[in-house]
Order: sequence, then structure tokens, then C-alpha cells
Amino acid sequence: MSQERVELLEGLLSRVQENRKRTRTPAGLGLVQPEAARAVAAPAPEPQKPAPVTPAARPFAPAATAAAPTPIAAPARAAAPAAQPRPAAAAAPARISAPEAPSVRRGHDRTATPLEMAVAELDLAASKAAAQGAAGGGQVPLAPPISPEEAFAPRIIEPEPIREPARPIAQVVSRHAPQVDATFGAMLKRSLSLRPL
Amino acid sequence: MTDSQFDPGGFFQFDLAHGRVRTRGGARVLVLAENVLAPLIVTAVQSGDLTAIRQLGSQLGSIVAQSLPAPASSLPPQVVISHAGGVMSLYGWGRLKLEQWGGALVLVVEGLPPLDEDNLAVAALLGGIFSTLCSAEVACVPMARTTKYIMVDPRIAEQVWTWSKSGDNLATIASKLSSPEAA
Repeated sequence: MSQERVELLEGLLSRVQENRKRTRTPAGLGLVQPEAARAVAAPAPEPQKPAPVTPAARPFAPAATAAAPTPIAAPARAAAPAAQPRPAAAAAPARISAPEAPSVRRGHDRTATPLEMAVAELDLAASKAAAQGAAGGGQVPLAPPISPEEAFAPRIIEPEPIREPARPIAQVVSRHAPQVDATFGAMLKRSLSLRPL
Repeated sequence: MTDSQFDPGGFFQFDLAHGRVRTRGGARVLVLAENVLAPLIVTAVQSGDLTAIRQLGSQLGSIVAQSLPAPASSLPPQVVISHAGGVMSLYGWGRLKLEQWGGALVLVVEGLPPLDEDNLAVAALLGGIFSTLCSAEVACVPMARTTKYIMVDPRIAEQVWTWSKSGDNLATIASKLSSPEAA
């Protein structure tokens, strides 16, 4: 690995780490995988070179040269985002078996959000695997892209049930015992029959 | 404990999981601070409508009646007052006693928090309790500047209240009343 490649790899990794900080996404959610970053690192060196936009470097070029098994088209990936970043995102999942296709995805655009960049790293890894499968004669279907909404699951925190008290909550302090004779009904009747003189 | 004594055990059920308090009869109740209840009562007195307090007394009277082994009119007064006082104490309405002044029955409620100035709210509560308990309309007229309430026919309640407000004490008021039986 040349010194230039090492520097480019370090730059890419630092960018992924920066994206992770910007999105504040927990690492355990799987949006950014170090393996994916390493897988992308191999074809990454050349993209950093500014290249003039040529018909071969346009985003749709990989589709036209999909049969070519060599990663020659990699240089076109660097220039493509600046040229036409939007159409590339739509073209990438069509039928691309070469690793050049993800290079023009929205996630690699300078204007992309951090979350899009992070998701783009996963797709690059899948494209790499697909390219290897194509080199072996077969075509590996791409996994559906993970949307940011699917990556988050709500965590529900409910309060613990209140513990039963060890002793009664209500307690009687005192009682009373009035000392009156006769039945209450008779006494009340007499009281209610009172009239002013 | 015999059947003639009021049993307060298990009277309140605190359902902590659902945040509910229910009485033994199933009625849901709320626990209020006295400094919250007092302004509500003062407002009710000022508006001249103590129906809600009397209705509460009626509910308490039903609870007392259900706890008694027999109709209140056929029981000794100490049994009736014990049960009525027990229910009042459980609801925090003070300690109830009974006195007899001549032919007049007088209720004494001690340990009440300051509510309204003339104790009309407690008078309405007691009236509701004993009207329901004895199946007869009872007016409990507060004696001014005391904790006593004389139990009289509602038709003479206004006259007795006027005597009390004019400064007559309980002995004087009792002497101004006579029973047809005594005549």
C-alpha cells in the first residue's frame, strides 16, 4: 500500500468518525460499520484526485460498462459527485455489479447530511460484495437500503409499580363512648318535637 | 370487639397502582388538605348553598347505617354515636360526642380544622348524617362560639339560629324550648 493510499484511507476514516459525531448516532445501532469503511477504502484512493468530467466519468457510465470486471472506472467516482450527484443516487441500485456505482451516491456528496453519508458506507460495502460475486460469475442481489427511521427503535421506560406498604396506611387513633340512656330514636324524637315557648 | 362497636378495619382501600382510594362500600374518595377544603366551604357558605356538604353528610349517614346491627332508632345512643363518630373520624371530620340538655339532643364535634366562621358547613354535614341515619329531617343548628350543635326540627331551626346569633347560650336556648310531652 502506497503512502498516498494510506493517507487517503486515514482521511476517509476520519471523515466517517466525524460523521458519527455530527449525527450523534449511537455506535451500537449499526449505521456505521468499521468493516464497511475498510471495504470502501480499497477503491477510495483515486476518487480523491480531481478529474475532469468526461462522458466516461458521468454517473451513468458504470451502468454502461457494467460488464467490465476491473475497477478501472474508480477514478470517475470522484468527479461524479461534483458533476451530477442526484441522478447517481437513482442509478446506483439499478443493476450495477461494479464497485463504481456507489461512488456517485448521495451519501458521498459533499452536500449530503451526515446520516446519508453513514448509510452510504453500508451500501458501498454491499456493492463491493456484489462486485466480487459478479467477478465469480454470479450476481449478488443488493440488500435494501436501511432507512434512518428503521434504524431507531423507541425505548419505553415505565415506572416501577408502587410497593405495597408493610403496615396499614389508615390507622385509628381513638374512640369515644358517650354515656346516654334510652334509645337514640326516642331521644331524637323528643329533641325534634321541641318548640319555642 | 362486639357487633355493637364500629369496626374501622379495612375501611379504606388504597389502590396505589391505579391511584384510587375507595371506601368499604366502594365509593371513590379524594384526600384533601384542610387548607384546600376551607376556601371551598367558605365559598359555598357565601353563596348560600351547602347542598354538597349536606349530601356528603347523607353519604356518611348511609355508611353509618350500613355498619349498624339494627336501625339507629332502635339502638342505644352510645352505639349510634360510636358508629357515627367512627365514620366521621375516618373522614377527618373531628371527634363526635352526644350531650342531652333537657329534652334537646346536642352534638359536639371537637378537633375540627377552622372552616367557616359560623360552623355552618359542619352543621350541614351533621344534618345530612342524622337525617339519613334516622330517616327524619333533622336540622343541626350551631351554637355560636362553641363546638355544639343542637338537633331540632327544621321548622324551628331559623328561630334557634337567631337566638344563638343574638348571644343566647345553650342553656338559655334549651330553656326556651319545651316539649309537648312536658306541657
